Amino acid sequence: MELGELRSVQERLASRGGRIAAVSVDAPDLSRSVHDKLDLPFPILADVDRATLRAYGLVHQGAGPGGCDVAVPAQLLVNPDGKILWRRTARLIQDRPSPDAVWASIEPLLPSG
Amino acid sequence: MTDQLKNAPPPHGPRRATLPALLGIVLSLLGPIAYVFLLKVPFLRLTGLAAFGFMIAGCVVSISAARADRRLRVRALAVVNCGLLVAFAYAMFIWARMPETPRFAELERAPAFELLDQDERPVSLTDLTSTGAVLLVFYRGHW
Repeated sequence: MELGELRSVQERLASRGGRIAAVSVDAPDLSRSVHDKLDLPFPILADVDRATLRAYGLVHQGAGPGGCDVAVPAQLLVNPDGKILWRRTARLIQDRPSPDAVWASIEPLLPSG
Repeated sequence: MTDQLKNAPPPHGPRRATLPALLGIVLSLLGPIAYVFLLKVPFLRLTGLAAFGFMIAGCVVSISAARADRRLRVRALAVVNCGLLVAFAYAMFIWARMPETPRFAELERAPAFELLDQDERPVSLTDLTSTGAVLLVFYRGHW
């Protein structure tokens, strides 16, 4: 799932009071250029020190440029009290769910709009 | 005349099959190209099915060529072609494998965080869940 494809999920999620946030290890200025280029309706958060990746258990050691750690691609739905309602990780690098598949998974878990 | 007949290949003997062997390589190379063009189809991106179709067809053509024409270069092309298939399969299913994430699988609650967004404004998990559920999308980044 590419970030730009998430636009349609963000629209449907927003109508149910929710939102999307993307997280990567990129510094904010790099994320800003991506954010501007794709004109994303949700923020890209910068986990530069990988503390959030470690807390979530999503570190892919040495898989980034120059052998740095990057995220294992993953999506999770968190409700307002912090409980994880749904989660998915990629088994293969090319394993990206379609936006419709993600929406079909999370829609039944959301409070009715 | 008799000498020429002796040296001529027997009717069912070796055939020249360099061209079919090369055709097999071309077919195989179409596999990864098809893969790139069909990235938008999630099933084909995940399994590489279209690419494997081309590559297996290419290997069958090359191996048939090598069975008909036992010369070294034709057999070498068949070996190279099978190597391409193995390399593509390795890239798709071994190299591309993501690590196991047992900690993530067992989390019940989302760990709190506060991170900078693209405009360097701090955003916390509780900010994100203030109006409803949040879909967190971890991705590998751009480089």
